[in-house]
Amino acid sequence: MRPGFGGLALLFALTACMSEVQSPPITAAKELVPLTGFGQATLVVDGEHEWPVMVADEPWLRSLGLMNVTDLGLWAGMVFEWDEPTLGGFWMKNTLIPLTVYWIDQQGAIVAIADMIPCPPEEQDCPSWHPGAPYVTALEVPAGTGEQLGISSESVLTFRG
Amino acid sequence: MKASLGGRLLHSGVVASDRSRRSARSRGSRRSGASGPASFGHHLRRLLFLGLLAVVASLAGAVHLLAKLDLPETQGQVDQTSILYDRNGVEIARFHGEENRVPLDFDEISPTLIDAVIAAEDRDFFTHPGVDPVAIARAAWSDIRSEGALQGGSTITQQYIKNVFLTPERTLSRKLKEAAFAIKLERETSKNDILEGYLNTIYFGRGAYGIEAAARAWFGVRAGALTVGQSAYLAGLIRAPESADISRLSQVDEAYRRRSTVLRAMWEEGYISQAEFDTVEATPIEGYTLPRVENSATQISDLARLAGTDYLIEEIRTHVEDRYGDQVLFRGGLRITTTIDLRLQLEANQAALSALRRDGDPTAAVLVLDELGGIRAMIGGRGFDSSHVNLALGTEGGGSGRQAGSVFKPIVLAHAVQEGVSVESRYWSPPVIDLDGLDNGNDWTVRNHLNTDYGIIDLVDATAQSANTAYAQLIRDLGPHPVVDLAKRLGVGADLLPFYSLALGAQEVSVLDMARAYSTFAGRGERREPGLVLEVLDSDGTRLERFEPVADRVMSRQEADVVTDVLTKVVEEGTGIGARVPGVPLAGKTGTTQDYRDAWFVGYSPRFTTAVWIGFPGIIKSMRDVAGVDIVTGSNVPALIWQQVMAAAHADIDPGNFVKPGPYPGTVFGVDATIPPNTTSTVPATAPITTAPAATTTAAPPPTTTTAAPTTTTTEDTTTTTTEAGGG
Repeated sequence: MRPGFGGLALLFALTACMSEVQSPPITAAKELVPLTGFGQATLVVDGEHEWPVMVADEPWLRSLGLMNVTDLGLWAGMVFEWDEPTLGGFWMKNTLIPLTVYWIDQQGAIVAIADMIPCPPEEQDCPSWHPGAPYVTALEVPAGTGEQLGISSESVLTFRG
Repeated sequence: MKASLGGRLLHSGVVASDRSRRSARSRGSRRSGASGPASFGHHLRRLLFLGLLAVVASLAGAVHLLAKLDLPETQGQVDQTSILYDRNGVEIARFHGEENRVPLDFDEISPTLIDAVIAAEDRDFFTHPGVDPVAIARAAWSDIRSEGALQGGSTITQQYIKNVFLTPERTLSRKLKEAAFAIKLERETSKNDILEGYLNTIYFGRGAYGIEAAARAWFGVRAGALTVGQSAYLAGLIRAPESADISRLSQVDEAYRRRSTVLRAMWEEGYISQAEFDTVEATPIEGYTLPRVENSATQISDLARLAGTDYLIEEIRTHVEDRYGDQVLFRGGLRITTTIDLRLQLEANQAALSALRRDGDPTAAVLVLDELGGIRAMIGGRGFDSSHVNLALGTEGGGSGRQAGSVFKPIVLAHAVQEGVSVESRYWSPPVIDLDGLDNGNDWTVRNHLNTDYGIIDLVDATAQSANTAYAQLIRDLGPHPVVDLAKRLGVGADLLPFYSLALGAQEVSVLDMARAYSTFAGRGERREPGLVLEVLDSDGTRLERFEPVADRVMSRQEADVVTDVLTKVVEEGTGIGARVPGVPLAGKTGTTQDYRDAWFVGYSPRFTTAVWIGFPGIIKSMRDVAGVDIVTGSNVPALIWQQVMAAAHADIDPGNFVKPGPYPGTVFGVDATIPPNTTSTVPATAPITTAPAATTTAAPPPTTTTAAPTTTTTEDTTTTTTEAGGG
């Protein structure tokens, strides 16, 4: 499901192309103040590493996600929470930075991972990424930062707060 | 006049109550001596009025015959929910009002409330036989003159009949039946019983049917304990209960106006003294009214909530209520189809919210029009939780207008083109100029953004770069008065004053104004009035209303094509470059007002016109260090939102093409590039248009191609678009 090196090259080429028409950068606050309406929590990776994340736990917040955000500031990412297991996909409409999404089950195990690239505006259909398995939480981080956060495919991801 | 003539012609023999006798006395004393010299016009009006009375008399015969019929079964026993759909049939909201009804006996109702309702709705209720011919004649005359639907003139008995027994159509036949059954009911039922039934069934807003539910919903009291002020306010709500809620900022003025009207009527009828009038008039309505709880009679679908539909639902609700009444909307089972494309509305809302998503960020208003004038998306602000003022409609939505900034320049350009000025005409555009005497007799100092020196620049580049000093000279040469005239014809509804600063957008307009004006350019010179309601069907499927696009030619096709061609340069290579959508031909203009208080992007494709405004509503505040940028200008955040909205609007459709105007028509005027600027003011005091030496005339070519302009709409399933897909 992860693109290879060639895929990443394409990803960055597309991002560079996007930057010509997508302006300006809409950044999250440098301080730890979540975007309007969003909550905040602490991501705990394997019980060892802790990172601040924004929380989208209502439909309208989940539908906005990280649209038009180019810089998360001090936030490690955004977590999407549902009350019940779901199978819905993610898309990158109006999303300006490449992201990695981790789909997580109720025990904190990662059920699927995908690297997602922004939808080029000239494309009529914005693709969706689907986990292929039920999940209750999804974590989005800027593409390539998962390793820095200590996340591997075997990690257990929990959220506090 | 209504009361005295009615009393004279129609004394039915019904025993009048103390209340009616008291009001009759007060009327008589005030009307004595009310005569003056008769004029020809007076005689003519009198003749017409008498003629109308004769017609009414003949109708009365028909009514008399109808009155022999039995009363029909009541219609109000089964309430039917009205449903609002988007243009593709996706449900947006349901309007219903079956709950919140607490019937009372007549004796349990406050006499003060009864006084207020009689004074407001039917001053001769206790004396007429169910109908008031003079009131009907006056209403009919008003309808004839305005060529509108039947309106007004109904007694309380008729209103009661209409609400309980009849269907909501507004036809002469329905009116005659209503009158006949009113007479019939009056013969069979006491006045008090009719009034009791009426007060227990009418809708007072806030989901409350009947006076007891209303007293509780509005004031938290029993109907037997209503004060004069509360009674006057409630009585004033009857005709349009949802448009004068004191809790809604946009309706505060209307709430006070209605209460005053009823209080005056109560004083005129002798129900209250001058002192009571003065006391109540000076009492704030807010002081005795409960805060509004979300209208339980309107249920918004989950998808529509995501799409930020508060403002458009409010607009449609007001429209339908004004036309058909609250009862019909909340109980009549209407099927209302709006011009809105819920999928596009959702994407526009997401674009606006996601671009302005930090605490302290300004607010966006967005309006999208299609080529027929249908409103495809409307974002009036952050939602009713933040404000009830619909920023997309400016004053029409309850708010104030905002300065237009440079999005007004294309209107000046359009006037220049109409005057035969080629857009290749040139001006010297220094960083700053002083124009003699144009600021109320003083010099008018104009600066380019960032004090840019554009040198000699033609109107194409002056528009693309938004060169203020060039446009200041252009309006100096054209004069502001005809620009105001053209702006109005293009669709700017705001009151504009003929000041030179108009060219730089110093006056206030609404988002709707600018969308309407630019859509006239998009429509190749034909203005189309925006509409929000595509169709209204009653519960039987009968069409009550349908969107009928009306086009008025304001400019020639070629003139509009020239303006469009210039505005495409703004997007291709000018200040609007951030708004490009690959594969879609676009024309538009950025706008930023003084100290970055307002930022605009307004533009169009052959298919859609979109206006985006960003600012802080209700206050004067600079947009610095907000929305993730140092300063908000038309080129950045508004252009981003506009680009995303237009990309969504054109997904899966052929965007069409603009018609190229060929060689620019008109006469090329302007400064000679070899002549240096004036050393003091850097601009000749005389108008280049009259002094320019290099006037060359180009023949106006015919349009080279025509746009296909199909009217197909997207048919995708809008319910599956994004609800399950978490925004990346």
